[in-house]
Amino acid sequence: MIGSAHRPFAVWLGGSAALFVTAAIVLPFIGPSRIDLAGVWHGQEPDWSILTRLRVSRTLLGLCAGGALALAGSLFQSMLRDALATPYTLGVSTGASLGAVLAIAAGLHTTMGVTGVWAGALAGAALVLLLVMGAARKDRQVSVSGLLLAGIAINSVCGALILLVHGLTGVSQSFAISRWLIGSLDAIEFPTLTAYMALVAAVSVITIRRARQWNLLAVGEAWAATRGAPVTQSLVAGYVAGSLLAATTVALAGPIGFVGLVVPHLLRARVGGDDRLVMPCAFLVGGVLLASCDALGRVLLAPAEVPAGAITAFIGAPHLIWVVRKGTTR
Amino acid sequence: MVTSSAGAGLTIRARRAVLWFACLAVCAGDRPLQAQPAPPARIVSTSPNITETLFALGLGDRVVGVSKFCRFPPAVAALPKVGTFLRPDAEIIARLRPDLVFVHTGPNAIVAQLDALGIRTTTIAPGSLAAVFSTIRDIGAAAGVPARAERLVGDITSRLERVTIAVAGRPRRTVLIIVGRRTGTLTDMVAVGRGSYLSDIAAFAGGANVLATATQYPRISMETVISLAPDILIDVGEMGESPDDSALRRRITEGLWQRQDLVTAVRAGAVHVTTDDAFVVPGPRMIDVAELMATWFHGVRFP
Repeated sequence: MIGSAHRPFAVWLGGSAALFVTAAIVLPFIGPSRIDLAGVWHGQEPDWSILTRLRVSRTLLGLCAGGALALAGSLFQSMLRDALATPYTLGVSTGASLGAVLAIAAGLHTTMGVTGVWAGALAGAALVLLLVMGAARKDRQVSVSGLLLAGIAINSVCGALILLVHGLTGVSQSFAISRWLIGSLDAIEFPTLTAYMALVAAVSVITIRRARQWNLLAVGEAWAATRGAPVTQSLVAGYVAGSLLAATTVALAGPIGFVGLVVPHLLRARVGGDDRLVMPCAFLVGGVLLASCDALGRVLLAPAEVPAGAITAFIGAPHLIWVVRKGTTR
Repeated sequence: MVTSSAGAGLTIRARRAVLWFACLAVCAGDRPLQAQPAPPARIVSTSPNITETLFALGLGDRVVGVSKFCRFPPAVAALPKVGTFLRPDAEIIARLRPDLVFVHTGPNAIVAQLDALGIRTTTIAPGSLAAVFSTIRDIGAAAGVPARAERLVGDITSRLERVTIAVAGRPRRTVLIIVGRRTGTLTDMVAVGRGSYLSDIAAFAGGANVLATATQYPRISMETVISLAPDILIDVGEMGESPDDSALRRRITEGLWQRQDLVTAVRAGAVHVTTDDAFVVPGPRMIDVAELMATWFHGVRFP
């Protein structure tokens, strides 16, 4: 399919994939303590377990979470035709945060074998998803403006409820909520990580395969309809897909900002506005950016850690300003 | 007559002058009393360490309002809550009609607000181990019980000396103290760095903080816990809102740590999980924490 006329496609996609694989291999070796390679080779503890149980898990979570957020951001920016859209625009992530905050406030420790905060986050996201869909739906149709307005309104309500709950909790819950709302990466157990990665991979593949629809929607709903695109179905599918990506990521890592906004813009400045290329590259580059920033945060003030979200903002924001001043983003 | 009347007139003026000077003298004599007002009868505390200090000084019956984070002694549960130490509520405080409010230094306008309402405030510096003693003295002075404050400082100091003597000559045990993390997980942990309050207490109890960082409360990962390999691990990361909740949280946290077989302290059975808020309130109970740590570190016991 990708012939000589599409060489940039292959180059960008191949380059991004190579970067992703390189990051997955190299980043586990970066951390606050030195890994003894000979020791690892001979399965010597604790180096072997630090590398395989902690750093690999954390790197994979970073790659996957960064990819999911960047892809969700790219999807919402195209779908809503809003350059400032992020995975958090349509309220689901704030719903996840509200669910997590309520779980902390209620002292919910474990629910059906799942950590209470994760369960709360997923439940909150699901509830908001249904609310937004219900509010945006009119005469069996869903429009971009309806989705955007309903999402922003419910986002605000969830934000207000978080403040309210935070203000009413006791001292220990209050501190736990503050910590959670910062958002950061850490190693998680492999069964949870595997389930998360499988979900993100499936949703990402489905989303990227529908890139032509997002391209049409990025021009306009009427335009997409005249080209035979099922607008309502596409909007609903896009909203559900982006929400799944964002909500599961927020449940595991908290609300990490900036990756979902900046990565799609940086890519569009380089590769153009075609979502068939932007979306897969956004996933790969977003993952590399977040996992690399997390690795940097681990060593910058070691053994103290700087949250990955802070590093992404420090690196990404000046780059984004530079791109905007050059006027090369869509 | 004229002289006489004049004399009589002078006499009246002289009498008025004497009365006037007498009034002035009385007023001047009153001034020191105004500069040092009567001991306050209605006190508001905006922070747990202030509240605990007030009760330790025997002033509990004068406390009419506390912060929503105050939990010790149990008697404070029934007292009106006036917000948090970062955001005390001037309106609620004013309704309690206090004659003295203790506030922390912090990014708020509470002192100016209470000044505008004519309510006397005393500002307390939060934080370090040294500040525990200065806070006791400052509160004692402001509340008109400086002698009690000196006695309390003396009691704590002598008990602290007893701890120091008990652990003297013993090898220092390396210790890592976790004070925060994501609820229900061992991720996103916040530990105690050197120079912080709990680190100083651990040093008195014969411990040595393994975490040498520039910040007092750094965020660390499990990898750092493993590689630092502390002899003792103390987890104060979760406090319950009730005794049952605290017990549940302690059990869950102990279970989480027991799975971390790469951590030296776990293998040695030297993980101490506590939900006691004395660990996070830099007040008079710091001596109880120091004695408990000495027991954990070296097995010494105190009556």
